[in-house]
Amino acid sequence: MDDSRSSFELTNGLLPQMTRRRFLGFTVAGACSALLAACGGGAAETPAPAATKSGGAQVVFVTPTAGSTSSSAAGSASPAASGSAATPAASTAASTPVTKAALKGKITIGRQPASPLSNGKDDPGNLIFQELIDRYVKDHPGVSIEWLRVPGASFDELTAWVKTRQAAKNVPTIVGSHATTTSSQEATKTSPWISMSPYLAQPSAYTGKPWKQDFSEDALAYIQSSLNELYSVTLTAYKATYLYNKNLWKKAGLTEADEPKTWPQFYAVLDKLKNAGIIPMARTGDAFALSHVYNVTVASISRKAWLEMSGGKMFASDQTRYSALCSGKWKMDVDWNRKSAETTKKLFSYFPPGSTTLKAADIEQLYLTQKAALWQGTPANQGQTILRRIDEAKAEGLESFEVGAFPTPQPDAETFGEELAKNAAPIADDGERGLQYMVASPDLRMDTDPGVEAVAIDFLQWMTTPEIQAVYVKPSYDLPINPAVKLEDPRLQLFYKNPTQLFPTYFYYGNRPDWIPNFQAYLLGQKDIEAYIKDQQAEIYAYAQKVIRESKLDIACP
Amino acid sequence: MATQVPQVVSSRVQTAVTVKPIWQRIWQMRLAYAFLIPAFIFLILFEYWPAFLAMKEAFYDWDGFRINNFIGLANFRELWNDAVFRKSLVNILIIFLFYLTIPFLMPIIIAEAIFNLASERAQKFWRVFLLVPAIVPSLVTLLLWQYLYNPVDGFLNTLLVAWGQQPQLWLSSPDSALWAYMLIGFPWASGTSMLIYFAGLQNIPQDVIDASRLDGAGTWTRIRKIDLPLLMGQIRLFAILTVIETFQRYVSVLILTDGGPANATIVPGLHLFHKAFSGNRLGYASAIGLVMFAFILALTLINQVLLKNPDTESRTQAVV
Repeated sequence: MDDSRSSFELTNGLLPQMTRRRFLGFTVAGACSALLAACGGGAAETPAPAATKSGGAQVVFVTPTAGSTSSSAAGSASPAASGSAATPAASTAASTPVTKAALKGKITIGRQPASPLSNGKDDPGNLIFQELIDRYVKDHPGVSIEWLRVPGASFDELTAWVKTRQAAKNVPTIVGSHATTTSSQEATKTSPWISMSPYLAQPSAYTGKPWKQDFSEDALAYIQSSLNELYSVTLTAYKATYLYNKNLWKKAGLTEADEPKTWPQFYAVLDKLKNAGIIPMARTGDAFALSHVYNVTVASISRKAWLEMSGGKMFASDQTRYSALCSGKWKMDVDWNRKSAETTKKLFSYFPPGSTTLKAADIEQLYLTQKAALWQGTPANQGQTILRRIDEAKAEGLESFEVGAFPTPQPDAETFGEELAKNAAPIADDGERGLQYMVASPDLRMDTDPGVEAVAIDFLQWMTTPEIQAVYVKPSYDLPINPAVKLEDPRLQLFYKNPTQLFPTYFYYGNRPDWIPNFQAYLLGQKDIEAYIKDQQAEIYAYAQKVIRESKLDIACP
Repeated sequence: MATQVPQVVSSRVQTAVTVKPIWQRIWQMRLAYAFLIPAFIFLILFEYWPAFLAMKEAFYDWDGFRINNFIGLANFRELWNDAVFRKSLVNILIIFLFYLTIPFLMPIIIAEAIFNLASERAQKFWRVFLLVPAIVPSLVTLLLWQYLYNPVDGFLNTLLVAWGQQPQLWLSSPDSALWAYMLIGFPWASGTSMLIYFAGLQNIPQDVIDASRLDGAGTWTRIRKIDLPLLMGQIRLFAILTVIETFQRYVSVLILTDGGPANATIVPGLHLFHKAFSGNRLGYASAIGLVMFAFILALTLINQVLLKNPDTESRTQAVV
């Protein structure tokens, strides 16, 4: 006590001029400043968008690449990489940006940038996106666009960011999402996003043709979903294939004629590769990769059940889907689900040893160092930007290889049984199309601002023109959403070997962190299929209850 | 008599000082308290309030955003039947028991070994040598272990193959993943704990050690009868820290295995993390947190009681 008193007196003595009032003032000011610094430090970096102050229009554009780790692609854009991946087709060369002085307004774009390259430089995809924004603003002097770089690279981080902004009623005019976002919200008629469907039939300000012609038909059907409404604009197409290393293919005694057309042929190829001491497939056994492999088959062979459940519709609303699930009309203990699990287990045996803990970067190395033969994915994601990496290795004089491609074979009677094969939908390698990503926020409805909406639509129409599309996809090797863009890199054509887009079921798979240990236990022989399916059903019920609660659907679920 | 009056007055004054009302004492120390106010505010805002909120939300169905309904004990009932949580508890108990053996003893053994070195230069060398790895960021260490354990071309499998052995799956097999995880940090010789034990040994008065020698105590007897009893404070501290640190850990598991494969390495902290941030079930995650808080508190108290040996304490006091 005495000690503290003396130190207090000492302190007091050192501050003789400070009056009590002044001291308290300083203390309160200091506390307030510190509090503000702690709570609002980021405010200066991401100022509130003007659009939202006036309750700006909400549109979503979808960049499928962001959903994967393509955004974290390292390595630099080599000359080959940034070369001539795509150019607009001659037929649409007349579509050039025009100066629109009359267009006025400010829009904000919330989008996750790709991670910086390993040399610390910005990803070429980010640079090109910013360049295009600058170019648009230059062509439209009355418009200003601010790109709010959303932290992180994952869907979860983006969702959290959007939710926080929505809670603060401070959502950017355009939000870079990962896929369609709105069906649950629309089921309750409380979507915060506006529909862009009316614009599809109207001429684009840049091509003079209906805007819908700037999209591939199947992709447009997919993003319009069960409501047949356009809530999100996709800038890139999303097509996957099996890319194989031609060197390893040859080493295993395989030729181009061995590209499998059926599942028995597929397994024979995988066995030949394995017997030659090659890892057949460069895949991880993590949630993302496994759910993708699983859904490629499940979306195809569940078609009959799906159509019975949805009343013959390719798309079904959440109300329909979850009602079927909760009433027991849709269940997991069925042939198509068993067969999908068994098929995935068989394919899993061709993954690298210990694949459950391998990271995307590990399997990328296995493929690039020619230890693994097959890469399943799109040109720009499902792991990393694989074609760009191959080109970088070539540019640096490292040992490289040529690639061939084949799509996943259509389910056949020998592998899947006659009934399932007969009713299977045309298979597509894009399993992720079957999964629903959603930014659920049914409590909010933003007022629309016609001025801001006009600018946002104009910008999106500009971004989907063939000329801008060709520029946009160059550094990422992505596939353009506009079918009129001519792909000059012949390897990109490989992704179109399977002309089919997925039969787009919104499959129920529960929450991945819950599902994946259950599925891994089955794949690793810790559980039999009965136990796996029983637990899967329970997980899906748990997830359904969560969605039903969040979306305020009027469904009782066990 | 004349000398008694001042004594009475003195004791009354003393009594008056000691029974002064608290608000008067606060007022007397107002400047000091004013200095402390910002710290109190931040402590309440950023430490106590979130903790209180988490305790409260354990009784709610809370998604962290819009849904926040009171559901009583439903989260705890669900937790009781949660097989993943049970598995995580078993895993963390195995990890905890393992950490109480070699990893806990090794820093004491190393500190003793260095303390018993005759050369001071050698002591300094080994202290620095063993501390350097502790400076390396833990993330780097984890990534190195990840490389060592890589099932395709990791260092350990390369060694095994070179010796004509079968490669192992290490972290990738449900059978070996937990053990592989626990072996990370081998040989558990470096770090601040060793330094603190060493400092404790250096604090033992030289005359006590000399006296033990004169009494004919050998090194082993001295360690048992003098060093360890006098290190009991540090040992107790690290036992408590081990309890807290072990039961709260999840980052290293998240980085290395994310709890897999097939939940083989799931721990309560990671289960909480998954539920909160992947499943958006912050109410349920809060219930896990509350149970873990109670668990850690109970273990810490048990620890305190077990390590509070009255004989040891009295002997320690007698020696000091």
